[in-house]
Amino acid sequence: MIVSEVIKGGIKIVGLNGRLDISTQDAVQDKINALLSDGSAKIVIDCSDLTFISSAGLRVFMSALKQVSSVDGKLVISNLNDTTRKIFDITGYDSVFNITTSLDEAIKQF
Amino acid sequence: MTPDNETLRVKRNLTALVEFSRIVNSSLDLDFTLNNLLLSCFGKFLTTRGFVALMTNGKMEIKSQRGFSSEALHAFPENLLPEEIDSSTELSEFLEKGKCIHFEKISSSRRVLGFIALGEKITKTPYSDEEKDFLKTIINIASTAIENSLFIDELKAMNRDLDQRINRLSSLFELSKEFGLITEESRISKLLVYSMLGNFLTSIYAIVYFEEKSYKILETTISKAKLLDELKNPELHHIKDTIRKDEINSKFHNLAVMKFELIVPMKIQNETKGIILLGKRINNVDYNASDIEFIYSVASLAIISLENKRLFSEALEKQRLEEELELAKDIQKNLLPGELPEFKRFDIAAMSLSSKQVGGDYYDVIKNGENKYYVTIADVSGKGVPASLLMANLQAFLKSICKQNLEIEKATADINDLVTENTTDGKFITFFWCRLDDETAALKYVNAGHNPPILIRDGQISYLDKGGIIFGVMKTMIPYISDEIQLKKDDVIVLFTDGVTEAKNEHDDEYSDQKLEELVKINVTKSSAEILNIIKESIVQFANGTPQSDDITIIVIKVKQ
Repeated sequence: MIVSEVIKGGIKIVGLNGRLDISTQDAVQDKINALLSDGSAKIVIDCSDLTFISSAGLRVFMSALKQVSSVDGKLVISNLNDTTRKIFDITGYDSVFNITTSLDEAIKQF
Repeated sequence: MTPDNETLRVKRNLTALVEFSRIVNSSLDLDFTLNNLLLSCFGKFLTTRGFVALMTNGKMEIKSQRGFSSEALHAFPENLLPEEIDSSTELSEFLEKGKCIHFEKISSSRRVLGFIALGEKITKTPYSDEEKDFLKTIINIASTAIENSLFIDELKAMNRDLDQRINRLSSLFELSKEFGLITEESRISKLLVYSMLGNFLTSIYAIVYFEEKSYKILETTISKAKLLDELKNPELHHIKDTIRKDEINSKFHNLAVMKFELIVPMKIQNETKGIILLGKRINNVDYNASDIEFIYSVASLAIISLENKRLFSEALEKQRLEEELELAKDIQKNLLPGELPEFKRFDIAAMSLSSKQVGGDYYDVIKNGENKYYVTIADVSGKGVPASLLMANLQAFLKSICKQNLEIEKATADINDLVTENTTDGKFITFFWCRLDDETAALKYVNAGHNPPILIRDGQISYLDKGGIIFGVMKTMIPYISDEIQLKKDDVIVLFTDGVTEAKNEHDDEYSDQKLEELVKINVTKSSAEILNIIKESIVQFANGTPQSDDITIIVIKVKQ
């Protein structure tokens, strides 16, 4: 799992590359914590290169959503592939997360 | 001189020699012998200055003297070797300054022991040949006594050393018994400290134990913070040999400032597991080789004891974890239904296999009024006891909610609210349940984020995926939706957890949804128990002995009529 970070016009874009599971959850959680530490919470999680989400990974997404909501920020998930989109659909995450199919669309949400 | 006088003089000399011989050979005390030698010379040659120097402990030392100030003695060349006595300019300068005009070597039959030097005579006359011969004679007589005394002194020193070694060996023996008996870290380090203090009288010490990737200061007389700063130096962790004052000063200067003079590694099989740091001794004596040997031996005992204690705690911890897993397994087993009820319209088979770590799979069949049943399958996130307890909560919620005869969507929403209220730290449950009517074969279900069960009808597969969000992440804000299906004869529904489709083989490949779907399609005509068994066999074969990290749960529902 590679976690990258780009800041565009005050929007923090976190790129996930690889599998998000029990062995990689901490890296992603740490990155999100770090991004939230300055009090600004406009976050896009770009899932273009995310190949799999396990239950531990689901926890990371939900905890990010809760953290962002608690500081009146906004979290957008972009570019889920078929596999990860299916995981979002099955778990009902599609009904609580703001999901877009492209990064441009995600940035427009802010 | 008349012959009579001559005879008289020789006789006197002989008497003096015999008397001297008797006196010096009667004692093994070196000082006594040397004093007698000097005084005899003074009496015979009428001089008041002189000294005897002997080789002891590899040094030429003045052992007895008269007429020299301690300042004057300071200039004595201690590094003088016996063979240099005749040629050393340093010595001749010293003798000249000390107004010693004659000296004679003292030799035993085997070696040069030292020499005697004498000052000028009161008469200011030089030593005559006869006097020199007399001196040689009494030296010959005294040399045996001197050598014997030296031997005695050496023996005494050796005995003292041996006594000390015996003492230390017996205290090592006692310590080894004690170290073997105690298992508390603090007591081990205290015992180590006391044995150091008792033997070496130092008021500055520290004992550091290296654990995996970290270190622990067990005892210290100086500030822990200061010592911790020094311990950051990785070189300190790889000390293989004893480090003494000078090396501490050059390599670990700050430790020298803290007045440490000795660092001894505590090793097991040549791996340094800790260090003992000792400061200056109260009596100002340096640590010698046998001291270090003793410290090293005690250190070995202590470190073995510490390591044993650590391994013991690890074994206990492992045992505790295993017991916890057993407990989790028991809780899980007790939560699963023992025997499934008999149905008119359905043929149902179910099984759940715990993984080694015990996951949180749950299934149940709950009777709900006449001919109505809830069939439930769920997967609690996490493993072990925490997952089992959440599962137990879920079962309790389910049983009480079922009694309220709510619509399935509302009941689902209520359970989610209960689970959300009762879970912390991001635990959640994927959950599916359906209500079966054993009269009409109608099925109504809600899927809360669980892997969609598959329905096989006339060779076609459809997924039971209507519902809403998984349990435990947020209170129900968007209502769950349900779906109804009128089942008909030979329909087969397979409910499963992700332990089935994500079962792994040795190449880390997953069993996959496709494989499960294909297998069920081919075997759809068989009974539920047979289908269940075929799936199980297929997974076992696929996994090929690879331990699974998740529980595997399957329910097969077949419509009989």
